[in-house]
Amino acid sequence: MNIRKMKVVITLLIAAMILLTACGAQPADKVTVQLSWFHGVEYAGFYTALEKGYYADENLEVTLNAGGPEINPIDEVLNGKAQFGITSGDSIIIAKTNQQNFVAVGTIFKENPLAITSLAEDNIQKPDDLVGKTVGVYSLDLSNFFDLPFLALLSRTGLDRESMNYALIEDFQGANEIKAGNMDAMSGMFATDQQVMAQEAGDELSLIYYKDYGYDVYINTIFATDEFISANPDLATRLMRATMKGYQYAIEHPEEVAALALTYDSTLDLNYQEEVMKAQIPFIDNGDGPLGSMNESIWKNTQDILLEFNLIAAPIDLSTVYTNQFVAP
Amino acid sequence: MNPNQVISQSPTKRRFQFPQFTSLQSRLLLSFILLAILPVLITGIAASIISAQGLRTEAFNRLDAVASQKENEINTLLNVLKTNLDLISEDSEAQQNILTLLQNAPNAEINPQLLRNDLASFVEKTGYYTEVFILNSDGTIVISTNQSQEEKIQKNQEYFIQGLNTSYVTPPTYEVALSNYSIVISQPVKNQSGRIVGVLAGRVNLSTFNEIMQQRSGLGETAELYLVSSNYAVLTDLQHGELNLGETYIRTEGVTTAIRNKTSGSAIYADYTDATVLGVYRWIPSLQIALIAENDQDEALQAATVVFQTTLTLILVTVLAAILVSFLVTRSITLPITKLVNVSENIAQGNLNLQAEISQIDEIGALAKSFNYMTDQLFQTLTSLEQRVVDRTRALATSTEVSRRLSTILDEKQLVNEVVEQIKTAYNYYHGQIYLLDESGQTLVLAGATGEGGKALLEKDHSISIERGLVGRTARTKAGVLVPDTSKDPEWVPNPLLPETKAEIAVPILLGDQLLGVIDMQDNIVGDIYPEDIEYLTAIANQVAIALQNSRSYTQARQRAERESLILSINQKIQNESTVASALQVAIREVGHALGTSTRVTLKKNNGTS
Repeated sequence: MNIRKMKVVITLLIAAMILLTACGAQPADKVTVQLSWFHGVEYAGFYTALEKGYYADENLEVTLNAGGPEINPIDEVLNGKAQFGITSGDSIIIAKTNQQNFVAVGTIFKENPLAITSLAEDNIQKPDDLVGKTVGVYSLDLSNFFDLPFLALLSRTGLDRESMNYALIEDFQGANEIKAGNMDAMSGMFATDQQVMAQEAGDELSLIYYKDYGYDVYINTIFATDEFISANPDLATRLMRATMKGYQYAIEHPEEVAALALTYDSTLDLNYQEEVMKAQIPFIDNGDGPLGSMNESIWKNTQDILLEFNLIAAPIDLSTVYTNQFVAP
Repeated sequence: MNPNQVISQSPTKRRFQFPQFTSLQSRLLLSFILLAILPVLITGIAASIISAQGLRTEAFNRLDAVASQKENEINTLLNVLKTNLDLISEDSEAQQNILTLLQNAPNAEINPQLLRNDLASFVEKTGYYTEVFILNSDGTIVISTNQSQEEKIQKNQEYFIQGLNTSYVTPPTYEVALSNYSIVISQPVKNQSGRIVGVLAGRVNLSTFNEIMQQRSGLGETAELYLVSSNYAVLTDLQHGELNLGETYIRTEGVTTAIRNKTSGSAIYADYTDATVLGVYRWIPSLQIALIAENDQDEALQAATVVFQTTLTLILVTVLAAILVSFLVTRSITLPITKLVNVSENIAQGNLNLQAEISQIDEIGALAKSFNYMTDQLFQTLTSLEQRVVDRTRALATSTEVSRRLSTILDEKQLVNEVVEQIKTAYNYYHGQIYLLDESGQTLVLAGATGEGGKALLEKDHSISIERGLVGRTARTKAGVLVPDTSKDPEWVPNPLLPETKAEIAVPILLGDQLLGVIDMQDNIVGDIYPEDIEYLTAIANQVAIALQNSRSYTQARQRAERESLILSINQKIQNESTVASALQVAIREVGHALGTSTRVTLKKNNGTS
């Protein structure tokens, strides 16, 4: 072999090596997730997956878009600004009936945290105890979508809507409205946040969980369009694997991940985030199956309520709106 | 055995080389230590490995047995719990009340508090349940021993859904309203016609399971038994860590394998405290939880560690003993050799009268012995050689001295005596004598001799024929004769005046070819006269011959001069006489005087006529 031939071979080898190296380092898949609300420790699993490199390990480049009152994750995902969104299970079913085909691939909270809160000293322990009391609601005629749980509760417990009085909640912080005498109980509160806020104010709350009285709905499912999931099942698997790994880390290190939330919104209170993180552990993980996994019965319950209150016209095939295939044990 | 062979063979025949241990001592030391350590080491390691394996197997078996026992206890408890629920169904009054409540019988008035009390007493009786409750067919809790739970709608709960059909046990799940992990056991409630009208359920918190798991009978100090739910949350107390139900998670290899694969097995892995443990994990399908039994590896293998430590100690002791023994043995081998080396170095420097110390009867002892023999021989050879050199030097000095003295002595008698005395003294002989040949040439006359014997012989005018004895032979042959041992020479003639003579040497005194005499020396030690003495004595004899010749010439010359002076003086005296007669008188008188005889010359005819 003469030198010229050798040079050619070496050049080819180097070229092949460069090509192979380039192939090995595929560009990361870019994914945007539209959060359901402002930044907070509720999304700790996402923060952890980002900060601990779980997404990077899955070759994902994830962007988290904060939500807010003006942002509907359904729309954001539908118009392609985000590939994944976070919203409640009932929203997914309603969207389905509007020919907006989404599929929930997991849930952050396995238990619904919504509750009717009151001061423990008032001894309001069950719905019956609300009779004759003033209940804080989102709309006095209970037409607001956030009043749906209360309507469902009335319906499931057989309580008369007129057996109690209503007041509009204006201050959502802890038990301020109750202590101000505006109301005896507040409807539709997050057990986690509300309880922590009240505790910080030195108040002990009594909680009536909606899930115990007929309203059991997943409130923060992770979803994407049918088309996207069908086209990118591997990406969905990787995203959920990393995210749930993040949540597992989060519930095992609540204080550490609370600090992470502050890197996304520096106005957050660290202590508050820590307490909320600890409070939400049993909602994220109740011991019933893998993190993020969902139960058919809850989806069924959700649909039943929607049907009952005419939010959807007809039942749908629930297997089309959620799947557990992306949340491995 | 020739010790020299051993030494000369060793460097060439040695095959195994110790490159860094060049001295015999270090090689022996190393060999001894290796010989001592290797068997102990091999045995010890083998024993440790075997005992470790045995202990590990035993530990695993024990863990396995305990895990099986605990699994059985758990399953037994579940069966007991189910059976206990059946007891409520079997209580006909309670059963009647339950059915009445569930079927909303319009006419029957039941007191819920009574039923609640019935259930509560049951809870108390069995001691397992924290709550017993009944759900109607819609999933609503119609009555519960925990009144705050009543009216809750549990239609989405698996225990309700499954409990409508069959006896069901939930996995341990966290109930946010109760802020605790619990399991719920449920079973359908059937009415008289067999229709399912509700679900009877009992809630059991995990303390019951905790109690089971905390009885660690048959396990070691560091052993531990605990349950982990399928979400990796720890359900029962930990030995080495704090348990916060719902907040403590464990994801060790054992836990992960059991939960992920829903399988049972065993492995060695790091536990939640990062200590290496022997772990047995069980997947318990009835509760969808993992049962973990772990034992600290160090503790389990403690006996093996003891074996290993014992081995190490043994090795240490053996090494020390080996070092000591090998040091002593090596010393016993090398020390004599070193001494021999030192001795030989001293000898090399000329210190020949040193002797190697012989303290052993082995090969080295033999070596030392033959070394000493060699040294001794060498010493003797060298010493006699030196003596000979001394002798020779003395002989030469004597020869020189004799010749110096001889040249000054003109008197033959004095010369002979002087010579014989010098030789005797110089050579430390017993006796010395010189014979001179008389004019007849047949007789040798004693001219000088030493000692009393010699004096006596001289006084006798001793002489011997040249036909007799050693002296005679010397004279005849004109060659030196040496008889180292006179008793062995037949020709030797003993002399009673010289009784001690044992050896004799005689050399001729020759002037050219002319024999003048014989020097005869005698010694009283057999073999003390050496052949080279002939040469020395011959050299002296030659000097003596010349001296004798000188002496004789001088004597003759003096006699002639005396005679001439006598003749001259007689002549003068004669010439002084005026008469012939007086002149004759004088001549006769003087001649007679000169001749030493009283010569009487008689003048007869006339007195004045001659």
